[in-house]
Amino acid sequence: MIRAELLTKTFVAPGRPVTALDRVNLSVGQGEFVSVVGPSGSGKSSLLFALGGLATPTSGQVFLGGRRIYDLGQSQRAALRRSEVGFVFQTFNLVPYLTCAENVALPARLAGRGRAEAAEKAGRMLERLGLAVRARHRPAELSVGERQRVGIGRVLVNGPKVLLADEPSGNLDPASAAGVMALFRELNAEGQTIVMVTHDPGLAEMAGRVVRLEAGALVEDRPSLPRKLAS
Amino acid sequence: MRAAAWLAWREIGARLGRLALASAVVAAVVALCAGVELLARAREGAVAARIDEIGPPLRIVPAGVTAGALARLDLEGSLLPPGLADEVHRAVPGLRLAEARLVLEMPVAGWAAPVVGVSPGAASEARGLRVGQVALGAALAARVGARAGDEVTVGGARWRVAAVLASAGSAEDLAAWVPLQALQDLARLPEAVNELRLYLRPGTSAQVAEAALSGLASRVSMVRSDRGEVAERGVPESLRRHRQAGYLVAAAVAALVLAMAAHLDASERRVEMATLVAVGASGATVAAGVVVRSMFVAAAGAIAGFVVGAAVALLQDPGALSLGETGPVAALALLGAAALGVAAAVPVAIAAGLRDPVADLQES
Repeated sequence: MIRAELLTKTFVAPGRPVTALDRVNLSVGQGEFVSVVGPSGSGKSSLLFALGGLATPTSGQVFLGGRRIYDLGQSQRAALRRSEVGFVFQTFNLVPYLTCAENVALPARLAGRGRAEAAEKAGRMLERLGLAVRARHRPAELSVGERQRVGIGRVLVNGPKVLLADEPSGNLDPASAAGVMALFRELNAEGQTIVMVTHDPGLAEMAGRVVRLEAGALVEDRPSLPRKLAS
Repeated sequence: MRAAAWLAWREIGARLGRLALASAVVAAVVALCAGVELLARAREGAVAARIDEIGPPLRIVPAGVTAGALARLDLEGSLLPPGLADEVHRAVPGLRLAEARLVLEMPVAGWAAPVVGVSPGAASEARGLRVGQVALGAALAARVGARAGDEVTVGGARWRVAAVLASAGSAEDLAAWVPLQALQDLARLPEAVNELRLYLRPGTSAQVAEAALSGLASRVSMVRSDRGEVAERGVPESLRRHRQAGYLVAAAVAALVLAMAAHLDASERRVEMATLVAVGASGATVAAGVVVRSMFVAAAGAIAGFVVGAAVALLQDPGALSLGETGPVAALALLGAAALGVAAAVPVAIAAGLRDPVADLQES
């Protein structure tokens, strides 16, 4: 489904070069749920952004459905982010002046769908996420858990092949975090491919597979622990 | 582009207060410029109309007709060559109006008098006559004992006196005025014309126009008059240039404010724009959003500013909002401000469209 091959990303911080990703090889199959763990600064978010076509690597390549995404032009990669990969953020990153329904409809509008069609898709998505009554509310009027669910709805509205989540529960209370993880597991059970960055070892083990990054290098790639052992 | 316009529109609705400052500056600039321009055009229009009433700078009459005969309205039934008006329009640069006239001697209430057929847009006081209406020179009205509203016979037909013109102290006081087409029909001389009065745009001299028509010299006579030059034509042109310089300075101030507003807005919305890129907006869509937003802000300011400027101009001069001038000034203000909004935002938009979203997303 999505594959990183010898992915390297370096940049120059004041005074010294930094290697954010160091020849990372990672292959995520259709329907897999992969957690990416590691200490702060280990390159987890860089890997996620690189997988989503947002951060051009210094070397290496990302393959999505057989296509080399960094050989595509900017507009083609934007189209790919509209329809084939989607980002969920720790800070939700909802557009503050749009309603919940409009936030969810946003990728559909960007994909050129008409107002009515996008609104209908967003309405169905909010219904599924249990947020239909919040459709006309602005993000500031929602709880953090609801905001994150709107963020997930925004990703799902165009039916992406891969969902990329960067610390999706990092800003949530335990109950909301559990709700988001339950939603991810449900989506995964329906066949959604998910790559999730997390600090939380317990949440990481809820995925089917855990990979660990340290200093930009992938140092561990294993199946998650059995549920009882993880807890 | 549709998505960019939609986002810009939604943002403006939500952040009206913040964007209103830039709009207010544009409004102030447009109010000032539009108000000044409307008043200036009204004054220029009034001066031009007054000059036109004094007389045209150049007249074309049939060959052999002298200035004296023309002053006596004695054209002896001679006519200009057909199609001359088109030739004149092609030849004379800066021609504003070529007014065709037909002057024939006819009985008016039993008295032989020159009857002048004038076109509906004529520059003289007899403008606006309709079929069946006649205007009488002051001396002729006194001679036949007619007043406005009376009926008189002209060339055997009955006409209603629409007006008695004030005395001009010339042969025109003894003339009758009717619509050109009506006189041509009455005399059975379709399309016939024996005088073309040329009115020129400011800055175009009668000598230049006459020189441009030198090729017609064998077929017609030209009578040049300085009466139309009594007001210095160069003065309005000079004032217009000064006004335009002022508008440029005002536009530069507005552009600066719009550029600053676009820059501050884009800086504040870095994470939001990075998010848009992450969910599939192209750099072009993000850039278009910045431009459209700035255009909306400028256009809204222009509309408000024009209303204020027009109201102030109206208070200063009740004739300031003439139909012919208000529309072009409003369109110029709106399109100019919108173009300024676009131009001011383009550098910010390009930078926003090319910006790496990852740093902004990691900051959030």
